[in-house]
Amino acid sequence: MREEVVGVTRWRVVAAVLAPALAAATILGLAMAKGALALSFVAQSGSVDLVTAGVTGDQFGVAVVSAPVGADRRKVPAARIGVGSGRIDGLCIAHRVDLLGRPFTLLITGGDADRATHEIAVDRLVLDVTDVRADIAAGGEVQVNKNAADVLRGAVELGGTRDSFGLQAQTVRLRDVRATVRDIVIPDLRDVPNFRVEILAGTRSCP
Amino acid sequence: MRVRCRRLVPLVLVGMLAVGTAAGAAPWVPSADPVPGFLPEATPVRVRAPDVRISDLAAIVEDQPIALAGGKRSPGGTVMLRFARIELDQVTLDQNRAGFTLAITDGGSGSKAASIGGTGGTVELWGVLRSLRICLSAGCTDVRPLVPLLPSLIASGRLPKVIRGEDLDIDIYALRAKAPAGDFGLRLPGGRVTVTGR
Repeated sequence: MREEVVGVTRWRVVAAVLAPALAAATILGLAMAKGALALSFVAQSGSVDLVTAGVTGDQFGVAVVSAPVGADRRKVPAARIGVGSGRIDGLCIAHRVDLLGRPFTLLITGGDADRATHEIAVDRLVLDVTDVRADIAAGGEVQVNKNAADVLRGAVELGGTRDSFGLQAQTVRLRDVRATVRDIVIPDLRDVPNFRVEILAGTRSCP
Repeated sequence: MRVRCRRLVPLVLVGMLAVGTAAGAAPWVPSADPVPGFLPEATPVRVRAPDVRISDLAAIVEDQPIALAGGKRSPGGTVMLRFARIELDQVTLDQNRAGFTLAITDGGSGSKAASIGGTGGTVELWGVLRSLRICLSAGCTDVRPLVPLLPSLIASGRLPKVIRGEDLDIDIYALRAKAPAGDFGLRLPGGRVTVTGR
């Protein structure tokens, strides 16, 4: 690992998975260029929690998808959530796995403690979830039971399974989000204060 | 008493209709907007709520089947409803498919209920009604036999601004909500979305 200080912010840049055993349970890609992060997180096993105090954005879509999981790439249904251009109020991802008979938690966190700010800019956010709780508000023209294959995130198809449920809206506001996720993709993650990636012994949860 | 109330509500509605007709009510004119403006999925979403409140009911039209994905059409009993807003207490939306169930729920009621639409907004839905009891001054009754009367009552302007309903159970093939600028057309304050394999 290499540490790089940018202004008053200390960044820990991780170019690959941290340990061979953890690689079997997690595929985590982080790349940094020009001050922005590209985050891609695919859970191969174990449970993954995502917590954020809020998400606001536009070009909002929800579509049922069949996502491959596990070593055998068995397809499992999930709800794919897409936001074209958005901002997040704090971020925490906790991936709990058993390695060599012992529990570990991969913990990714970032953000400030101010609930009044959505300090993290995210564009083209995609989450595959099996369970999400939130105060949900969708605005503009809302279309419910849209053919999932036609649901867009901006001008791009969300990848919904044909002849499945979809929802489309022009804007979205989510508060107090707690989700169980399979995949997280944030191609353009910017302005993340206090960004940390840690591997912790034991079973940990997002606050 | 319950049987008497059930008989009274239709009589009250017929009375309202007679007055409205005598006053020369204007006929309902269908919207010029595309129906419904997107291609719906062929399997409906089942929406259930023990208590609902419908604001500014503007239209209810029978026999409005719509085109669905895969070259299919919704059943002949599809009704189209147009209103400004609906609040739904303890609502569940679920869709059972081969291998999994999608569920969207909100356990809130009253001021914390889920809602679709808003003041000055428009909600249109196409669905097949399994049950709904509307509650007027004379009591609550099954709305389905009364659907042929409702368009004239709406045109007469004699329905309450907010209609309370019980035991809503409807298969929705498509729903479109437009809210005024700055407002939200869909709110689930205590929302939960789950996808469960079966």
